[in-house]
Amino acid sequence: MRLCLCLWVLAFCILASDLGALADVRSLISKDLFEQILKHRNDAACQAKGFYTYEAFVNAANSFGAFATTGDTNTRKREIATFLAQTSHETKGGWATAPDGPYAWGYCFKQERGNPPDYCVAYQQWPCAADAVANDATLSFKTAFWFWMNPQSPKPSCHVVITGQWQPSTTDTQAGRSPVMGSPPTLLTAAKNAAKVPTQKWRIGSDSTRDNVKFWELTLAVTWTGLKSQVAEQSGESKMGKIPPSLRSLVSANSLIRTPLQTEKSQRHHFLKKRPSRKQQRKDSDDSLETKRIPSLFKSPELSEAKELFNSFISTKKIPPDRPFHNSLLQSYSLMSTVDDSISFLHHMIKTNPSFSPDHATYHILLSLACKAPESDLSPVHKTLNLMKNAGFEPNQGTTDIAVRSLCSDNRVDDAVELVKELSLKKSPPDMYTYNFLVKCLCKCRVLSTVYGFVDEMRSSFDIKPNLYTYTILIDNVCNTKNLREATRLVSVLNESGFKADCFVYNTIMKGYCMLSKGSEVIGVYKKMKEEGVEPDLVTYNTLIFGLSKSGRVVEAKKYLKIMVEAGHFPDAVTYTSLMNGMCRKGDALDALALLEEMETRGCSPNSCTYNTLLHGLCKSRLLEKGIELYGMMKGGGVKLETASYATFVRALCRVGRVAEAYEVFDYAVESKSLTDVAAYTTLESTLKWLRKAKENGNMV
Amino acid sequence: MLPQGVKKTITDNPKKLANLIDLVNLPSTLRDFVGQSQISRLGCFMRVWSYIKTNNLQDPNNKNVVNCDKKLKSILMGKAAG
Repeated sequence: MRLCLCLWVLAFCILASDLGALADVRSLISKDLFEQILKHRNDAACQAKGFYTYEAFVNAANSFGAFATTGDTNTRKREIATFLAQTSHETKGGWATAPDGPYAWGYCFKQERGNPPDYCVAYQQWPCAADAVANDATLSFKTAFWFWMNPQSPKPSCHVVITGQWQPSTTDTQAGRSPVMGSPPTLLTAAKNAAKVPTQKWRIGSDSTRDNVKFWELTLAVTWTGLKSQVAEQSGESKMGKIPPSLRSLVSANSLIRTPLQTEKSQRHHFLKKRPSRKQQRKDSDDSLETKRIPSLFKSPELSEAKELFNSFISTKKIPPDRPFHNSLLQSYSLMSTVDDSISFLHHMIKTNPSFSPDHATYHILLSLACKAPESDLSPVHKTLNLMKNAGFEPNQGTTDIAVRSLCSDNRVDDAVELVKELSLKKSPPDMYTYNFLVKCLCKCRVLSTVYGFVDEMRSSFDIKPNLYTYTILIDNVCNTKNLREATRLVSVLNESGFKADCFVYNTIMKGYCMLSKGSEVIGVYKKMKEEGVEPDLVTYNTLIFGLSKSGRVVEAKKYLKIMVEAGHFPDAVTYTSLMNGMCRKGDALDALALLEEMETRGCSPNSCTYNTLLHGLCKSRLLEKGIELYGMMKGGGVKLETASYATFVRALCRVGRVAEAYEVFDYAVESKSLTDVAAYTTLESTLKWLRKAKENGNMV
Repeated sequence: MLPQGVKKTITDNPKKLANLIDLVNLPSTLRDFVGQSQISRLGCFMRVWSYIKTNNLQDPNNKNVVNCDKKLKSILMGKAAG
């Protein structure tokens, strides 16, 4: 058990290493000056009275060769001044109205004030380094110098900044780090801003675990990119909202995502079926582009090089100079260049090879590029559209579709809306697919009133009415925001508009109730479906069983499992997992385990979600042995662990003192890439901390 | 609940995460062990744990205890593990 303790402590023992002595700072700062700058440091009120001596300072400074030996005398003096200002600021004992101002009271303290009792745990063999530092002035200065001289990634060292050797990279400039050379006060700010390395923090190096935490924070700027991706991952999970962790795994991997996905897929399927040949046609041209595209054809976005390359193609005549070939050339060039360059390239192609006549697809390539252009307004899009018109191609529905999809994929929904309105005025209104796509994008990132506003405007201005799929999208959206009343209203609007709610609509509403754990309403929707003569499908049953399990009505859920089988549906892994989850939540983990066997005998193979649900349930019901057995199976089958089940399992293992096994689980989680090492380690660490706390409180065996 | 708690700390407090994955300068003793001058706390943990595993330092009677060898002792501030 101590192992973990050791590991916590281990990262904290950071001591200044000895470095060779070189030049002497005494020539740059005299004892008198030193005394003057730090006038009150030996005042009786100071803890560090008589501690920070000039000699100690000189000794320590000399052991850092590069300190105050870089640049001309002024630069050197400046470095010393800044160093003293900085460090004295961090150890200052002065108050705002103190005689000579607070800064003259620098070097008043040598240790962290108000030491908490567990500040540093001294071991017999290894006394706290803090004491060593606090009692040895040279060492104390040395620690400060060490911090001064060494870069604190990603920030440069103070030394480098002050001596002007450091030039900020672009990222530095963005982060507000810039070398400001000037009078000492500015310099001090510059040093602080540039390095943000208060010397005070250095104490940590020697002090204690407690302060080390600060030390780590201090160097925190680090790899923001890596961090961002982490955070993004985390927030991705947090989107799951308030679903209890026991369910989250299930929800995320299976039911919820699956349910809407299936709905969506089927809808899309609908869409595709009804999609006119236009889409197909465009697809064809896209396909031909795909097949003929040569990814590394253009080496640079230079227009002249591209033209040369094209000319060489034309002169060799090795390749059929047909339209798809030209389009694919344009496509691959547009991937790496700007709108203007691509347009010039197109003009060049037309001029050099008169047999090539551009078609809609050609201009659509330019259009999708224009939609992704970095400009914040629609000017490149308009430019392309005008070009298209001048060439005799009126924008058609395909044009609208491409523009809307490109804009939405770039998160420019408002621009897309604007463009749709514009194009509708110019007699090329969007078709229902484009329209529904846009409504869906709006739902995702705008408030409901905006969506309604758009729908209303399209209806009143251009006579584009929402259809069944539009309503399904809207209902799905309000259900996701738990606004079931609005969903019910939409269903009635839907009926009034002459549409009949189909299976998808009901499934969507049912899912909404599931998320609120309203079991009776879920059954209500099911009954309504029966009344209306809508035949429930597999998704309906899965949602139903999931909702009932979630609201703790396992017995009824089992009943519907039977009904489902009678209706001729084959329950799948989702069905069983939902049911198991319900059982586990009620504490019947053994029943759930029995269900696993039943499931396997019926020829339905469990997925990772099933295993995770079970593992979670078993650990929760304190059936650790069974859990370990199951874990063995999972490990054998290479099943990934999920966050919730991993955490519960690790906790269960630690609780009974099997820390080493918990470490092995950690290894497996990282190896199998179930979790990021950060997530896995955070869980492990907090579990061990919790364990230690519990032990201290005497709650543990 | 633990998983919720962890998630919350990470999303609410990127500093906590940063303190785990930020690179820091190491003192000479650790530098020798790790073989590089900067490492994150997580990396350090992984390094030591894999060292323990590859050298079979876990006590065969009680896996929770690690019998430190010389190298490990030098970095663990000599705290007798176990």
